[in-house]
Amino acid sequence: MVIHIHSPNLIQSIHNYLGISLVIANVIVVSLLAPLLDGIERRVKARIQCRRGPPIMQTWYDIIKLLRKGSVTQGPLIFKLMPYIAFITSLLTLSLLPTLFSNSLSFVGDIVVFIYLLATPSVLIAIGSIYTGSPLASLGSCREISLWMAYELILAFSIATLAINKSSLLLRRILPPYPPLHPSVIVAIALIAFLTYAEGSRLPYDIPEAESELSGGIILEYGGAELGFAIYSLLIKRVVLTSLLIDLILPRSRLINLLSNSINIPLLVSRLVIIPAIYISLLIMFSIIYSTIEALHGRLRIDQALTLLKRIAVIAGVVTLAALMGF
Amino acid sequence: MRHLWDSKDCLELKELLSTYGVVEEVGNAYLVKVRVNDLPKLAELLHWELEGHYSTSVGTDFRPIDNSFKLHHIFSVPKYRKFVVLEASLPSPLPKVPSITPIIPGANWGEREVRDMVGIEFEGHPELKRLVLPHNWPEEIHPLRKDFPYDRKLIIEGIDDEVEHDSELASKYQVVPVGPYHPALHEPEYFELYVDGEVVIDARYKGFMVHRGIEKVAESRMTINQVPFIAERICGICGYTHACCYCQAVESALGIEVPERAKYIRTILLEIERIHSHLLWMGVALHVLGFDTGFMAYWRIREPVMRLAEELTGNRKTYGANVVGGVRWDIKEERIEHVLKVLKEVRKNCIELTEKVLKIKEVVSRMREVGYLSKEDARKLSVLGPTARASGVDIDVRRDHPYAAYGYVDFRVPIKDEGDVLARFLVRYEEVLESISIIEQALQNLPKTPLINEDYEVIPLKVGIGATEAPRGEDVHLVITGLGNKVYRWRPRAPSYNNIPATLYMLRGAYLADAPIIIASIDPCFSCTDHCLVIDVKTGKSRFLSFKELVRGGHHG
Repeated sequence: MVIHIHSPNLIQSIHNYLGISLVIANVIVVSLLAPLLDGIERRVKARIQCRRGPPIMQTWYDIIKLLRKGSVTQGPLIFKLMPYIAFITSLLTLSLLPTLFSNSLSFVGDIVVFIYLLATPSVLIAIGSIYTGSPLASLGSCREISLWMAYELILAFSIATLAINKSSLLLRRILPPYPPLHPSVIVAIALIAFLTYAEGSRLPYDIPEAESELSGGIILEYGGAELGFAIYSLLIKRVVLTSLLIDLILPRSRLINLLSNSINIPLLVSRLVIIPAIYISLLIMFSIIYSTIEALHGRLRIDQALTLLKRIAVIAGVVTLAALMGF
Repeated sequence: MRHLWDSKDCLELKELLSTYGVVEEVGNAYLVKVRVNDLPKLAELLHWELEGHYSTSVGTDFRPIDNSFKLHHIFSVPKYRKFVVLEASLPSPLPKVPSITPIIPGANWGEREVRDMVGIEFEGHPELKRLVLPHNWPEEIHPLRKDFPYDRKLIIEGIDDEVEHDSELASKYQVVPVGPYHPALHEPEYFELYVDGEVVIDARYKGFMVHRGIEKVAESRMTINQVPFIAERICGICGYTHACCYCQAVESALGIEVPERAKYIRTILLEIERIHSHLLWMGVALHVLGFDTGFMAYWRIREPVMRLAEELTGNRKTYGANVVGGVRWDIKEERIEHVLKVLKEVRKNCIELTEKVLKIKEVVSRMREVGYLSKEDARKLSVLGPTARASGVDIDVRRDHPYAAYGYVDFRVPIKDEGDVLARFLVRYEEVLESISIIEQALQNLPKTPLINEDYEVIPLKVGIGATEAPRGEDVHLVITGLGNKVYRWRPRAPSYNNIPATLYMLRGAYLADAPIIIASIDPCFSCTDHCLVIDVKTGKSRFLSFKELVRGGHHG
């Protein structure tokens, strides 16, 4: 077969294929990484608590163990299906973000899809838990959904602020660089930084699970493979959240240009080696920061958390208004 | 010196009591033989008018001796530094007595247990149903009666499916089960919470799931000097206080003088036990609040205390140091310096850590104004220990009825008026510091006397009272000595017995999320409470029962 290298269509399609495969690579590598990051967090927390802590691979071992157990969950079909749907949704969410490589699925309005998909896994599991009739699980669901509404409000306002600044509904477009670094952008990023921590169900916001109050809450009734997938999708959700924050603070294109212009590093090397390396080190860094914060906190009560989140949502709303007025 | 009380005052009490019957002085208690119908009047006098508190009730089958039943109500009257034991003799086939629960709601459990175990009927009791025995237990069999052999196998038909369940509340509100296996409460017990949204409307408690028949075993097949060892196994945390309490009861019954050095050693070990128990609780409380770093940190600073216990007794827990008349092991002089050094370190760490923890806002906000117990309710229910002291009730057995060497050391009893979980936390924290100071004083003044006084004879049918301040509150044992170097009746009452009913008051109106910390805040010790009796309750059965409850709770929700 003769390859017409000069055909612009072909280059375009190779580029597309490459792009798609990089997105798939993104999803696979990052989802494999998610339990490892949890392993790091567990280790860091253990060290702060004067324990040795489990091996970094422990979360992986746990998930593999659960997946191999098969299904032992009792309950209606909708309840049993939820973790699987949640897992697929979390992978979809992952594909919308530039993570390891700067490629991502991108289409007009993907911001809106992203915001919704992000919350879907936990909401699905919460809905599934209501169907079990277990009082502890339904209370967990109740809390999850109350918190979700507060989180969504903050996330929507913050991302809207960014979208207004960039006048675009493309997720890719609202990423840095920010030529005019407005105050509203800085506040919005700060709010998202807070949200990436809280929405990942970390202490003091792990209220829906609350081991010592609800015995695990929303995931109480799951077991075996379903529990494995429920946990796994939460871990992926955490990475998605952290990745969103990294994307917002890491000016990828500017960095690549800088590397190629000043120290002559080829574009391909920057794209496939340096940027992924920076991304992974930032992930690890955030894991360490988050787990340190987590180790120093107790759990909030749902009403305390909601009061706090409501206040933050008001701030987020005000910031959006400010952005509309051009600040 | 606090141990010297005014003997004139005591005479006043004695005179007052002698109008009701013959008063006998046993150790630091007055044993009053009263008429049955005087019991409510005396309860009113001792609990409310003299500002004492009801401790517990003990029923005894005296039929082999004089064809009667005996009922003992025990009261502590700190004002006169005396315990008062009201002894009522009841006729044999159908023993009946007026209930004192209408006057002192805290007597509810004590009387119901006597009814279950010995078969004494309480007239006018507002809640006359079974407490300890399963609901399908045969009506006429009372396991603590002497004609019920300890090794009798009783086949019980059916399942104990009647639980503390309020169907009226359950139809209106969501039922949330806490227990019998719950990650925040590490012992089998069952709280049924009726919840509206996130607010607890009311609660019911079902306990007594882990009876081990300790009383019956001790009465049936142990000698007087073996019982301290089984007494120590009543609790997995504060066992030594039970061993002490039992020994003191026997010592007071038989008038045995304990050598000074033994008293000091008991004091030291009791305080070591209190320190490790409080540090353990403070850790667990933080764990319940989701602050695991604090949990680990408290347990880390607790570890040297456990090692101290091992260094002094050979065991981290269950010291096995007590026998009637003294202690079995000495504290070697060359170890004292090291102990003092470790204690200094523990004090420093404890202060540092607690100050840090109290700076964490979520943790404090989850404890402040949570689980409120008013002083009236605390008095009404005869709540004990740090739970009472955090509600402004100024009681402490160590100060009010000095035992061991507490009369010779100087310490402060921390009192708080807030009545919330934070107050209970702070009371325990301050007690840790006081305990360290008590041990330091005791170690520095260890008298040089023998360790044990074995010069005594067991006189049968002598009543004795022992009371210690366990980490969770007043611990009371009543002993009636028996023939042939045995105990005729031994009734241990752990402090959680009086404290658990108070949790239901604290839970009303609380947030559901606060329920575990509220329940944990009294430092409940469910197996201590359930210490007594019951031979044939299979644990499997209660598991099945609770499973059913869980399922039912689910369908209601």
